[in-house]
Amino acid sequence: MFPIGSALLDAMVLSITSKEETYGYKLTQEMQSAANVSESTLYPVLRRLQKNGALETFDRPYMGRNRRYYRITALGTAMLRQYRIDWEQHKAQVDAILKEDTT
Amino acid sequence: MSTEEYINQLAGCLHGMNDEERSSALVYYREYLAEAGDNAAAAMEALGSPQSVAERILAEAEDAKEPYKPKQSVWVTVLLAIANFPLWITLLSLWLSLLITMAAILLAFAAATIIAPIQGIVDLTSSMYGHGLWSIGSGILSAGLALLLWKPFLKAAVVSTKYSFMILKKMIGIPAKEVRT
Repeated sequence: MFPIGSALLDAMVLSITSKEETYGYKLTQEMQSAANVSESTLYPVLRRLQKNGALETFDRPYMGRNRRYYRITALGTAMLRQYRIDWEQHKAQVDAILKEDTT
Repeated sequence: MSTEEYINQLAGCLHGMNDEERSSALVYYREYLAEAGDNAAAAMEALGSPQSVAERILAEAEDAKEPYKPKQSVWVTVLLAIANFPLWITLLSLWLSLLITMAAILLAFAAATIIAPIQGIVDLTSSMYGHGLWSIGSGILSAGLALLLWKPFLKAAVVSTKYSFMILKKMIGIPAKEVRT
């Protein structure tokens, strides 16, 4: 319902990869269950984060082929920490206007 | 459409990209469809056409292509100008002396064009025929040389000015505009 911008996408991908190393297909499934993100959105995000040095990739054999896993780097972790702070702030600002008066 | 066809079409759409970016994207989507397994058809449906997938990849690559360029502060420009002083002062004086030389040559011919014939007529009226004809002749010669030279000189002045300032800007770090000649 609410569009997800590229900063939020980066933050979400970093958050998921910070919990466990993951691969493109699985990541897409996870993101889809949480947000209305189209299937072709994630590759450019992953590639950008990888190029920025926030994620690194490695291949792991699986059923006679390779799976390319994404792993968060120290830089990515630092970025995620900042994203979480920014998100809290953003949430509070929106809530200040949107929340029903409970007093 | 089979997954192989899908990947081939995607590869075709990414033709303009460099090899590394292209193969990275293809590895990802080949794996993606392999992971989908029996649901590959549905996955391709959800992804959309290879063209639209390619567009998203290219759009992101386009953004990334623009390299980060810090803006040069005025102070850096001033410092560079001072540091490069021996270079640009040489260039500037070279350019100036070229202009002055060309202007002087033209001016000399122009002056000769006017003065020599007058001298010649004066000489003729005082019966110094040889000297008078010689003066008129050199006046005409000067006129011819001036007419011959002013266009190439003007061109040389314009071109040397353009390039001098282009090099000057480069020296102090101001990005030069494209030169059109």
